[in-house]
Amino acid sequence: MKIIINILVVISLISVAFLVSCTDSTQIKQRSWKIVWQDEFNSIPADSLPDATKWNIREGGDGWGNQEKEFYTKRKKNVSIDSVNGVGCLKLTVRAESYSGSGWTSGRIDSKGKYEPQYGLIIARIKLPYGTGLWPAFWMLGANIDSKTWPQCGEVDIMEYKGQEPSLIHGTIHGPGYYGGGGITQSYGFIDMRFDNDYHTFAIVWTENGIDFYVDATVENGSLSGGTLYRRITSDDVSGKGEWVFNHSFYLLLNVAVGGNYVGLVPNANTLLPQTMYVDYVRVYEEVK
Amino acid sequence: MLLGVFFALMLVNCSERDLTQIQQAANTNTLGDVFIDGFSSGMDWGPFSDGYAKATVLNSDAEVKYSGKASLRIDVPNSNDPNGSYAGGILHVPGTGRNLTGYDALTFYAKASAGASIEIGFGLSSYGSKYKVTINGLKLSNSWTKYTLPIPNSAKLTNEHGLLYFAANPINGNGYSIWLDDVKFEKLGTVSHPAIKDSTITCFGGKSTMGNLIESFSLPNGDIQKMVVASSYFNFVSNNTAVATYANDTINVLGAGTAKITANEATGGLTIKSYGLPIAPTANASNVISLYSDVYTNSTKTDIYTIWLPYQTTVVAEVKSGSEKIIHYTKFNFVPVILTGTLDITGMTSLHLDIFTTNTVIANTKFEVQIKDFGTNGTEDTSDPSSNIVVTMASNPKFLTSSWVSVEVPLPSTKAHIGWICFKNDDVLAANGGLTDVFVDNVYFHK
Repeated sequence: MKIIINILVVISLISVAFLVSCTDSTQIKQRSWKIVWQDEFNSIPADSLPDATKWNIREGGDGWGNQEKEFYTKRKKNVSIDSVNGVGCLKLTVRAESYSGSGWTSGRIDSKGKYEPQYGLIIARIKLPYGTGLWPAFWMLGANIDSKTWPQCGEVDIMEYKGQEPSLIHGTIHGPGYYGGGGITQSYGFIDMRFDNDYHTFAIVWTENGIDFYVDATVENGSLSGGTLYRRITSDDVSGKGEWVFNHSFYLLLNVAVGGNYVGLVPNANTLLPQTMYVDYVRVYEEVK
Repeated sequence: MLLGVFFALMLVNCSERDLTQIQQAANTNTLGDVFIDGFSSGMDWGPFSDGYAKATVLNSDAEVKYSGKASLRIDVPNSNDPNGSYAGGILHVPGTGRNLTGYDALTFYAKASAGASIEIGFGLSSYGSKYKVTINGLKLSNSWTKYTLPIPNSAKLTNEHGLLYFAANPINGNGYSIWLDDVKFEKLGTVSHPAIKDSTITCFGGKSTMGNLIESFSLPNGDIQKMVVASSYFNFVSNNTAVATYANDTINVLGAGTAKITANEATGGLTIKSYGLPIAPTANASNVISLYSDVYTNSTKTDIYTIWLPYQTTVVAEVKSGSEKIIHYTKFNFVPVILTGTLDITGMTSLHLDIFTTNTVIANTKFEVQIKDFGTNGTEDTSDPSSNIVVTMASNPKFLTSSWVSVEVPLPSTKAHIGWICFKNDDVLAANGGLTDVFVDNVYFHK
């Protein structure tokens, strides 16, 4: 994500609310969901590239607007579909290697021009990597990014994570008046667990007025259940700061960055590479009205 | 460098196992505290009894502390302190040990008045070191820092007596102080990705103990903690029991091939590459005069280490594969086996030897065996080579890469004064590689 770096980044980690539930359950209306798009990453044969009808595989190492240190490649060493312990998944792998002026390679895919939803329940099941200096993310950018540029196009970070803080994830929105260190953000984490030991789900419920951020919820029989709603962001949260820019279509992104302004550190002697982000599925549901 | 650990008391291993089985049903002593504001319940201090550890190094410090009422201060002595030249010992629980199965790490806060590097760990006590975990060279700073030692497999710690041990030396002869506080076993839930450092053993066979292992864990702050841990924590299994088995901390390598010894409790493991032992000799001992074998009594005249200067390049060593000893020749051109004062092998019909090489055996690779009988006056006459026997081992089908080959060498017509045998590489082929690295075993005359 593009963060303009003349703002001192003071992430709201210090004021993290562990296990905070910020709405009471009577306000959550029960919705019914039907699946409209998915990638289960179950390609056959094994060790293949992601479905080109759904995803673009990005390449490059110019820092991506955040002074990131990785070079994304289209090689299967960095981006592949495979079966791992019986789970068909997308593997985005960070490797320590000299490549085109960079010290690390990694993978980044997005659905730009291929799938660009507006509203819905968007969920991915992911097992995160670990180690200082890694910055995996499941996020969205406004589909109008080429005409509106960032942050006007809007950005939703469904899940971001810093490798040296394996018990914490962050959900954030960026828009005009509230971007970079000023993004509207919420951290969620465990005191006695880590996200890199197992698969967890990360989801948003996105409507015209707001975005709800979830961890470990799943859709069973058309209903979203379990897990924690850890933050509701509405258009009210941006009034006085800027414009609510989440009423157009967005595309999905998955990547693991290395270093950069957000994670604040680069891999060190304690970062055991290669490291992989495993994505079991990405699913998008529409509300049944 | 830090001194070793010595104990006055030792407990026999099988007795501890019996005690564990009895305790397992009943051990409700699950207290995880070691030192919070004072010694935890049932705990004692025992300095090491090697004659060098100073006994009186511990003090409670009510002023310098991380939290609560007091910290534990260790006053490392000067190296010329008449009462002891280093600080080392254990905080232990005599009698019923602690049931630590509900915890996953030992944690503590520490700081020091000098830039100290100490040895610290747990699982060591007068009952033994079966579940010992050690950090060598833990660096302390002058501000309170939390340290975490994950437990490799807490299910094993049903009755642990050794809660903390340490050894700290003076720095350039000068003593200093270390403070510890909030020392306790915790259930963090956030120590993860246990990994044993992979290692490979190349051998021929036999039994050996697993020994200690290097294990690393990922800590919740992104750090990797490396520790030396006892192999008893792990329920190791072999993936190829025809090659190697594992039981009671012992690896038994049975045959040629590759086996990987791994455990559920961590990734990584030990790879065993075994070439297999030579076939055990079956000849009746009364029909044998043995020079080098683990099966027969060897002649006391055998000397495998004489070097024939100035042209011998061969270096002679012995390797132990389990309990089997094998001669290893490297930089092999030729090498004697001297029979000091000559050996009488009258009645024997053949010299047996087993040879093994990892060198590529090309066509016509030769391994020569010479046997010299000195004749009736019993001394060597170098001008008369007629008593030498030269045997050429052709490469195919008998001589192979990475496979033991048994060879029978005919004997000289006179046998009463055998002075030496000699193994020799082929001159012509040595220039093109030939054999450079050969193992030899089971060298014996027989009838």
